[in-house]
Amino acid sequence: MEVDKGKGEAEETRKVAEADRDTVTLKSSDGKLFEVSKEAAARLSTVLAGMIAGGSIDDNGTDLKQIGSEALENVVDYCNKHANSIPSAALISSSISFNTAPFKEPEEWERKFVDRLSHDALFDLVEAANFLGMERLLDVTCHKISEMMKGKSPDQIREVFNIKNDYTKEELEEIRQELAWAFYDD
Amino acid sequence: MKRPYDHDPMAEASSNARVTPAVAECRINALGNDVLLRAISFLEARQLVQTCVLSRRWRNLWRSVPRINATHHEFDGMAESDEERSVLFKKFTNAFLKLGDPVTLDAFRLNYFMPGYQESVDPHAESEDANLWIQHALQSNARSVEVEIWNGDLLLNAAVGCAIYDIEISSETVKVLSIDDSSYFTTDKRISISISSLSYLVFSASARMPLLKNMGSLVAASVSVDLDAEDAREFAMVPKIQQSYSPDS
Repeated sequence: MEVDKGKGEAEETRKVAEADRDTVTLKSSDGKLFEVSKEAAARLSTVLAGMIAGGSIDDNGTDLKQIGSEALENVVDYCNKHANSIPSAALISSSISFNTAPFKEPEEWERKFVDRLSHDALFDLVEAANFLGMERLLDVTCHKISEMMKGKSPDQIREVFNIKNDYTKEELEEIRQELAWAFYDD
Repeated sequence: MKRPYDHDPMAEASSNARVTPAVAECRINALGNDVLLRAISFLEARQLVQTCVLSRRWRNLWRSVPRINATHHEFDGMAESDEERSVLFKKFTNAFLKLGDPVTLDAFRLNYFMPGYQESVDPHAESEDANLWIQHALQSNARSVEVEIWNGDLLLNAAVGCAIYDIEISSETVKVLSIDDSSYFTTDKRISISISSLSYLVFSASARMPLLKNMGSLVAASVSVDLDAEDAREFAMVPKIQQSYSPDS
């Protein structure tokens, strides 16, 4: 499947899908429709798995009011790419549920997938993955956030994420004394 | 205080706007604690604790991370000698595990350099700290415990990996067990693995096929061993095991 399939061809794909019903249609908060394989959706998202099992999937587009079209497109894209990458993954993890497997480093395609995202798109995707119970995607996106912090000073981290320092100087001094075993910068 | 913690990040962000677009809002602080913890738990332990100075929101987050990755590399260059560095690392790891909230621990990874091991008259004493940490992780119901030891052999009380002196490995809670080529056994006897909670087993070592007991939860396993005919017959009867073995013995 191509990256942009969900966007323009959603309507067309949906007609085809109705014949065999091995896909589900998801509707973003701004009303766009996306197709995703039922199998991949059920395997990668606990929430979608629950909806499919419980019969609460709407053939005309299951409303996901919390997720914008850009994030939903990324979700669908991830599911498709994941489905395509499975045969190459000879690891034992490929055959087991990502909901219970311990964390494994992101694969090359997963790194590329999150690296191309803008700051906002990354966080939108984190929130979407969390909402949909997509454990693996949540790990991959959270791992990306950790990489944006890795090796940086607190000041640099605040700058990257626009975190407002609301401590007083005295409070910071107190913390650094209390946790001296983690700082050691005498 | 060496670092100017009181600078205004907003001002700096906008002055850099041409290079990196200014972020309109603080997206990371808007995440729920569970998600934020998941993100920072990928950091190495020392930097992870240091996130507490970012802002009030972050003050106690480090205490309840689901994964701890304690590595002596984070203390490189911080002491004159390996011994001193080891003291810092021990102090750090002891404090982290003591002050952290153990209930939430899911995975524990230890990368440990044992400076005194080579000269030590009592290798068990050298392993004592690491054993306590591993025990702590197991008692916190960690699903995954990964240990890498440098400059020595860890003598495990709990028998989880590395130099394996025990011939019986058992646990009620371990879900993932990985014994690879870097492990070796001091016994020619077959080891037995009895872990009713075990989901994933990777066993790849120059040893005989382990005796697998209580494998009711096993989802997937990869076993690579020096196989003899008797073991092979039994091996073939273990269900759900992905077979791969070296036919060299």
